Amino acid sequence: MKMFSLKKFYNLAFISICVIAFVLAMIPLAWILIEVIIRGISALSIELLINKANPPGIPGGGIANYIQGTIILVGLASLIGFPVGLLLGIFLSEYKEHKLAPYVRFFVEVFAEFPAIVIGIFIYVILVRGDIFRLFGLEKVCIGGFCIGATGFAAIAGAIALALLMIPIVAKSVEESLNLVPISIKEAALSLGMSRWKSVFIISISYARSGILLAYILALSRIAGEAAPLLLTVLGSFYWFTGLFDRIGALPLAIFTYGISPFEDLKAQAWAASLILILAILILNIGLKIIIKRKFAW
Amino acid sequence: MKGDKVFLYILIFVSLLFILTVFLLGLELYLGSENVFRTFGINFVLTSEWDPVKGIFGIAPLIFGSFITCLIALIIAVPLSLFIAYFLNELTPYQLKPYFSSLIELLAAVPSVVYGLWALLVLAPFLRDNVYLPLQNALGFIPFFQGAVTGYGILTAGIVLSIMILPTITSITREALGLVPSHIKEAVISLGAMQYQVALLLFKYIKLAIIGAIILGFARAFGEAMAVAMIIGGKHDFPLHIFDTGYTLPSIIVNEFTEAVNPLHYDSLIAVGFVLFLIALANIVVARLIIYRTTRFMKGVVA
Repeated sequence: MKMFSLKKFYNLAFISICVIAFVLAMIPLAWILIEVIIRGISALSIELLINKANPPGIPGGGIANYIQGTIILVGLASLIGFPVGLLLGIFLSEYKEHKLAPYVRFFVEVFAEFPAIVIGIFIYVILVRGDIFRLFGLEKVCIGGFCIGATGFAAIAGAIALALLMIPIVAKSVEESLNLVPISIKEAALSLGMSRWKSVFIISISYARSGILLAYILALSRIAGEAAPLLLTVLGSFYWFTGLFDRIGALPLAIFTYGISPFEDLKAQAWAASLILILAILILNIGLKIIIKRKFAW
Repeated sequence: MKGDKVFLYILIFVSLLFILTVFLLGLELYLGSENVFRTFGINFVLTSEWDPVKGIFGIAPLIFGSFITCLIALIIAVPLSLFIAYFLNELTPYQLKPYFSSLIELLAAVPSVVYGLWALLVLAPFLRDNVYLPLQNALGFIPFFQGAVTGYGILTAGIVLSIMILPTITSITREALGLVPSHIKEAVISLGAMQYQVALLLFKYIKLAIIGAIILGFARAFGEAMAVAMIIGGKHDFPLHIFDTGYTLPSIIVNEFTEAVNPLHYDSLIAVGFVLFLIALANIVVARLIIYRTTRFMKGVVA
């Protein structure tokens, strides 16, 4: 009889430990969100949202140019990263039988786990410093009158770094959502004489559109908060966007530089920037998930 | 059909381009830091002096710092993740499951700079006043716990890293738990096993996948730059006690890159990146192979 009650005690202890572990994990989440919301709201103002940052030493200023920078960087990154990720995802799902597919899948999964800062250094070395041109013994590459050499710290380099981060995320989730397309539908299309690439674009992609959109949003929300690769490629700026080959500011960079600065007003701005970043990510993550489920679900 | 051929060629071209990029990454990081390895040789990773002005670079303390912070992170995160994974998969009521699991996923959605900001301005002062100082008062007779307590350093970094890798380990463990054939679970339950006995059996069944998850969590923690850079304290030497400051491989890149003093300093930071790349690559490949093998094995059993 004693054995039995001991067992019950162990069981109760085990279940409570499981619950406690979950609650413990929720404490930092709640703590971060509460701090960001409280400190962010108290620092937020209209001026902060419409003014650009002031150069160091001049008090005041806003974070609007960082918001603009993040939107531009993420947008540019999507232009490169999403199509490439989509094509890789299509290859992995629709051409599973191809002998290259397992290798590509392996590289995608390994690349997805690479530390973001390694990708930042990579882009710094090949583009910002221009080693990729030196690899071929050139200073710059000219097509017509248009020359590309070492870019220096530039928005375009940051966008490419973010695009590289985006590609494996998009590829993996596109593959997963295309795998959910029933084989019978594809076979029906093919048996009616539709060519394979048309069936991919017309049948599979349109069937899996909500999954693909979610893949894109997931990747967006992941790269929007990345600071490490941007630090090495765009370096940050106090001014509005001036061109693809100029330095540019971004919200995560502002959070980093303002957060470690000794000035209280800059720290307050870092909290405001965090609030905006987290709100954007939460809206992307949760809001669109709900909308997509309602509007595009089959 | 002709269109199909063209489409397939485009796909293969993009795939090869992607694989080429991965190889290019390793190659360019190596070439970019070649003169560092030529100047210092193996001493680059074995010595501990880091003096940009004199042009002497050794990263042994950084490697040690990286391993020790990741070890702290794993010690905290692994048990928690296993319990949480079991809780979410087996103990949570069906209706609550999606909400609870998206809460855990939210932990992964918080950007690492925001973790850093929170840890720098909120968590570190809190831990210093409410945990570290009382702990030192109680255990100060042990050398390991003696020394200045600033709140910043390897222990705080390890704690923050543990929060950041928790969702990774949890989700891989959950995936593996979901692949355990149900007849195994049913068999032990029908023999009158209690929850903790079922859990023990399931974890034994997926132990390889758990090892894979741990290695992957380690790789994540190892490569984390921003949050650690903000709270590690930045000391170019071995941490001497548990509250001491230190440095890790990614965080030194973040902190020194914008103010590097000479080309060799830049190259040394790139070399740090190359070392980081090699260690991360080894971890990721091993973890992925283990996870592949176990999940394929288990999927085979189910089918």
